[in-house]
Amino acid sequence: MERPKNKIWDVKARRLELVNDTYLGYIVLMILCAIWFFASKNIKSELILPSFEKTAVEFLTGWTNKRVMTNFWITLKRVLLGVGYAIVVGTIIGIGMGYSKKVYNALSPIINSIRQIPIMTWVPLSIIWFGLGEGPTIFLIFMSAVFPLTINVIDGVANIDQNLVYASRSMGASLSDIIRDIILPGAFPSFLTGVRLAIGGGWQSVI
Amino acid sequence: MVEAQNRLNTSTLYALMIMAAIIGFAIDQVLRVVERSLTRWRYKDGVS
Repeated sequence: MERPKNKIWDVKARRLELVNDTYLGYIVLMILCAIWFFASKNIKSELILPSFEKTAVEFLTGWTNKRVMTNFWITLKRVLLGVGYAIVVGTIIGIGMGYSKKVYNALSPIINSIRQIPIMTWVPLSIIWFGLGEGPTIFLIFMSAVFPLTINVIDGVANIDQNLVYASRSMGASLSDIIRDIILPGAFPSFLTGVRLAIGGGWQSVI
Repeated sequence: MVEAQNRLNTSTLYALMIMAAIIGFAIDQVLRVVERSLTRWRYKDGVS
């Protein structure tokens, strides 16, 4: 049924079109900057809330500061390395736990216990195991990244339609065929979500 | 960032925190684009 043409409704619809969803984020950002600008003028304490102009200058010059950019780049390399290790370990464990109930029951208590341990408590052990340098940092990134990835892979594998597995077995597929042609493609979206969470967690933990 | 913390240089600290947030956001957006391009079949009919 065609919506009857109404002058008031048409005007409202046109007004809504002007505030496109794309610009909403920028509008909120500008409002927050304005709030910061006026709040810092009222608070007048650099410790509690530094002035917006001073912070903006530091922010803009930071992108061209060689020392700052070098440090961010070193951090990013460590995050990618730690997440790389987490992807390898997390995918193998996740596929095993998602595919086999026995493996899940065997490893679940250990995985679920270890992932509750606060990250900072691993610091002294990581220094003892890996010495001073990049080792402890990469280990902490790995510990932050591996568990979200593992859980997402387990979920992705467990949600694969079992009929696909039965059908492939009935056609003579081996375990490696099932993993290559059904498990890996089927769990891929969950795996990518896990990678997103892993990189986010790794970046947070190291910064 | 640690240096700014120790010196209580809050403006530098805030600026570096925002830079770290932006870099993290950019990494996430890149992965989102990669995810959408590699799993295009999920978004074909507008259903994820």
